[in-house]
Amino acid sequence: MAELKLSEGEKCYLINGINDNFRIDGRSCWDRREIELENNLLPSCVGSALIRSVNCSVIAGVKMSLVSPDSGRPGKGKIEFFADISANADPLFEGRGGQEMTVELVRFFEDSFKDCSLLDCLTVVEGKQVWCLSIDILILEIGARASLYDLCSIAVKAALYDTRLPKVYFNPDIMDIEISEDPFDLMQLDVSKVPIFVTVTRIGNNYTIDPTQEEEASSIASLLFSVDNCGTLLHSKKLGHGSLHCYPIKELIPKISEVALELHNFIDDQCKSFTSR
Amino acid sequence: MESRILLESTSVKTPFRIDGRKPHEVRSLTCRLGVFQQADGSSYVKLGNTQVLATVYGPHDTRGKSNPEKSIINCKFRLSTFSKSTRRNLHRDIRSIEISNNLTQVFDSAILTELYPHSQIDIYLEVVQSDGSDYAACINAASLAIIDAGIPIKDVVCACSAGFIDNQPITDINAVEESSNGTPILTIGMLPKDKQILSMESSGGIHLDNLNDVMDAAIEGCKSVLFIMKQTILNHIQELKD
Repeated sequence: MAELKLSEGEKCYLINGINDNFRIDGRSCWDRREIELENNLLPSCVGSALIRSVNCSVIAGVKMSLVSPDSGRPGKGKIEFFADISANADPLFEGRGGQEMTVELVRFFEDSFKDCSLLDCLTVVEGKQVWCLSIDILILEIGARASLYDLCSIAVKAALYDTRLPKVYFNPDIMDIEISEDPFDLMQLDVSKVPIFVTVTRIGNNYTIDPTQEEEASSIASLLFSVDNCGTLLHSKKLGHGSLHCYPIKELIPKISEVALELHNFIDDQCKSFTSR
Repeated sequence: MESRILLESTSVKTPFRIDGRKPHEVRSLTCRLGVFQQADGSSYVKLGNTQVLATVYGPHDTRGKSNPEKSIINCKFRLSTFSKSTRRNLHRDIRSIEISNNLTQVFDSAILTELYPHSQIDIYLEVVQSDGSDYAACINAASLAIIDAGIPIKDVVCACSAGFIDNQPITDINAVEESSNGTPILTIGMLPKDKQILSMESSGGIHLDNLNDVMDAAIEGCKSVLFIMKQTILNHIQELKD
């Protein structure tokens, strides 16, 4: 549900547990819940992925089109994001409901992917034609907001891993491009530099990852980081209303890169097992 | 040259369809109940390549007007942006609004609404992948989700589409057959036990003499769909028991 109300007693129980590094579902502060990933489930998309983690599920679908590049960036492809929360998640999201949330999500994705090296491999003819990838994120079930960001980024990365674009050749005779006639002549994208998001949530005196809804309801605020596979921070943002002290955040930095690398490795392993199947 | 929708086969008398089916064959149907945790009832229906997710919330308090005699049914149908081969824009889709209204009417008459005065039942349908017969798949999915939610319903509402190509009625139309020029499509949603038709919607011209055959094809389709739906429900209940 979108909002969960907890009593002071419940919050106190939860926070004291976390101070002892013990969460209500038995995890420690830096444990993540199990993630199920599924690839290649939408025949109408060039790449797709479904991710599920307990009570949150997200589908990402990639579609492609050929467009002319922006004049300032002739050698770079384009990526468009669109996010939508299905009414299946909660009656609140019927119609245009949940738009503030999806706009925030899309903005964060756009900022993180602005200078991604992925854009370089989307060039067809420099200055003339580039691929434009439209990535649609459909949120079917919404757990805690903080963990939603992480899962969306994993879904997008997995969908991009799954993406196969047809190879395009430049034909000098007709001064135009030709798409290969062989349906198996496909190009895979280099997704190693695609960032993933790590959200850390301050509950009591500790930072945790992947909070449940109950934990989120008793949290102070969350910090959202977008990190690539080399540990470079691409974008960050604070979520929620509370305020955070600066010293613990500084101490947090090595832990974040560790968590991010772990997630990157997890996606690589999962996706490799899909392609080998 | 016009591509042919029905392919003549050399060995058998009956023609084959573009996806290799016989005229009266329904695509493979997979159903699952209780796919979401948060909703009161949910289901997943995969009819060929058409995939629908349905959730039911309620009966709960109404938002706005309430009816002192029965509960209000609120159906919302939506095609996702990536459901078809070209990317779609979500809002202002007239066909979606029409299907939502049709579904509301179907389930308003199928659910025993008089048991829940002053309340509302929400049914949400999300078409993740569209490959023809979306409306029929949605009726089936919604009906399963309502059963999963434990809301009293007269019968398992089942639906199937049928068309008429080359003087031959065909059951369960796919997207290629749907988009080929002038194919008449008839979708029937019914209460199978009483043989009551809750929804009958057709588009495309068809001679009245042929309507009988097409209706029979759709009703036959409904029966085979119902068989699988009932099987799924029984399996689900068995799982809950164990």
